[in-house]
Amino acid sequence: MTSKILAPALKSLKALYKGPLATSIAMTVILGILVLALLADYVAPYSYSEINLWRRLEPPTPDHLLGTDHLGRDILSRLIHGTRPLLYVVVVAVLIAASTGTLIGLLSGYFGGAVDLIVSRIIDALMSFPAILIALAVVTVLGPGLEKVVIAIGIAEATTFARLSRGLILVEKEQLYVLSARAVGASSFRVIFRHVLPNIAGPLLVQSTFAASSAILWEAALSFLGLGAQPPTPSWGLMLYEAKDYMTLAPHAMISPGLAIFITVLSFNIVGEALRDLMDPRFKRIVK
Amino acid sequence: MTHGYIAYRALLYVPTLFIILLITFSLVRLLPGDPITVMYGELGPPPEARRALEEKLGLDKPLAFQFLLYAYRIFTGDWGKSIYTGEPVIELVLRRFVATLELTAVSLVMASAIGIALAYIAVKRPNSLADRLVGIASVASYSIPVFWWGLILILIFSVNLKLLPPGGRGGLENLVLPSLTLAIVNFGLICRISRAAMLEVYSQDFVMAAKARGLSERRVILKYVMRNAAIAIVTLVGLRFGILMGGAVITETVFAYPGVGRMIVEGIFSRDYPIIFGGIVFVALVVMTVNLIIDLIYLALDPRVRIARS
Repeated sequence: MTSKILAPALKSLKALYKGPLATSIAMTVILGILVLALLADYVAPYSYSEINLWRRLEPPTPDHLLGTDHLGRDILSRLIHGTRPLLYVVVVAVLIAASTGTLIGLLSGYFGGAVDLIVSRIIDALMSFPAILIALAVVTVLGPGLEKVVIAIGIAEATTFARLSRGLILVEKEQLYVLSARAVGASSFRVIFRHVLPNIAGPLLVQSTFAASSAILWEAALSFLGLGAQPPTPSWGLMLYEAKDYMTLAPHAMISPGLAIFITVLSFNIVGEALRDLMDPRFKRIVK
Repeated sequence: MTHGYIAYRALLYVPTLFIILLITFSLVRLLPGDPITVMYGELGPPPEARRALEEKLGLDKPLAFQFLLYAYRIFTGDWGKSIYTGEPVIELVLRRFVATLELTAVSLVMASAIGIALAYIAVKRPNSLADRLVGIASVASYSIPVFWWGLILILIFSVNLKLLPPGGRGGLENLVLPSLTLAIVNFGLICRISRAAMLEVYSQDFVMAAKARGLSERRVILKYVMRNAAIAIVTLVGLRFGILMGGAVITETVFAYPGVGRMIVEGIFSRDYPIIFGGIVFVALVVMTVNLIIDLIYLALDPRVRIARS
């Protein structure tokens, strides 16, 4: 099963990379973030937590390419190390959202009936809350911290996956291959996870890319409110939160983390859209 | 038939409402620390005063009873009082909501103007350079961290140019920066939706017929495509009202703007239960009501939907 999914995935990655310039740049950015997170200890010129009060809020110099923050820490090094909490948030939040949301959506859509009715109502209700409110409520119940933020984002994003996978399986379960699988006596479990799931992996993958970009934005927003990552974690959102009090003295400390978040989110969104266009040729047909 | 369907759509919102109330009630009850400890510090008031307070705030009753009481009070407009200021929550929420409504309405108008204008440019020549640039601008729009963008605007227009106040509410000048922040962050979504809706209409026969009759591209888009796409655009934008409200929560915090979002954040930090309850329930109710209204308007405006469903 893995090779069945992995080989086409690699092929579409190659196709994507040869696509428009924006997509190749975006893919390079994401790859760069992965590499930086792996090699942060070797690439970063300074430690991300070493305090130097004599060199606080220095503007960019050849010594400190992006300047220093309110505790004299090197901003560039903090940004580089910040790719680690970033990837942690992306991977864990998207895994929580995709697995719970998809599971609920698939079961609810496949079996239908009263459970489906209740689940759909709950999804509708959750979708009436702006995601930030769900995240704020969860973080306040669990307390601040990066691990809790990840859970909060995972829960807030799970509704999208539940709705998407429910819609997808409603269409798939009318298909002939499902009927024939059931006719030869495959269990519901087998039909859902071995037959339907691989067939709807594409849209779910696209949704995961978008979920990744919103996870980054929500983590940054919650850290910016002081509810996310705690010092001295070099989270980009937390760096913004700490820099905003010194905004007039040292605007550079605020500009670069925000720019880093923007570029990263933009890259995930561009790749997501390219991926969707690749899988959904309907859109191009409308254009022509 | 149609009336039955309208009633059915409206009825679907009843369980949604119940679940919204249940979620807000249980989430806030799960918060660590009870309000009395928060009010009086770690030592708390003497036991008899504590009991009297618990009775006054309804904290001594069983949870299920507290929930029913809560639901009953929501429907009768008795939303409790702020634990700190003693002000009735419903009055506070409504006053704050006026501010939020002002902000979201102004930014929604700005975002729609930018978004639809750009979509018009894109649709005129699909797949052209202009179309691609519009596409990039829209993705960029919803990739911007809203708090960062707000701070950048403050830095430029308040700190450096000293043109506009960095926050607060009062005159029109207080509204410019926060609404510009929200408009820039939201126009991309509207542009994307409008472009897709217009392209969908664009491929239909009556548009082809209009073109065949020799009408100019501009006229075809403005008179035929835009008009027919308008319903879809309004619906989709309306259904994303919750996302707009979410951005408003953070924008209000950045600009110290006294709206509902900032009220909820303040309430969470001080564990002012009635305020958090009131704020979250209110926002959810507003989003739900907007969804219902859009649902019904869509039904009323588009005969195709009406006939297909009934």
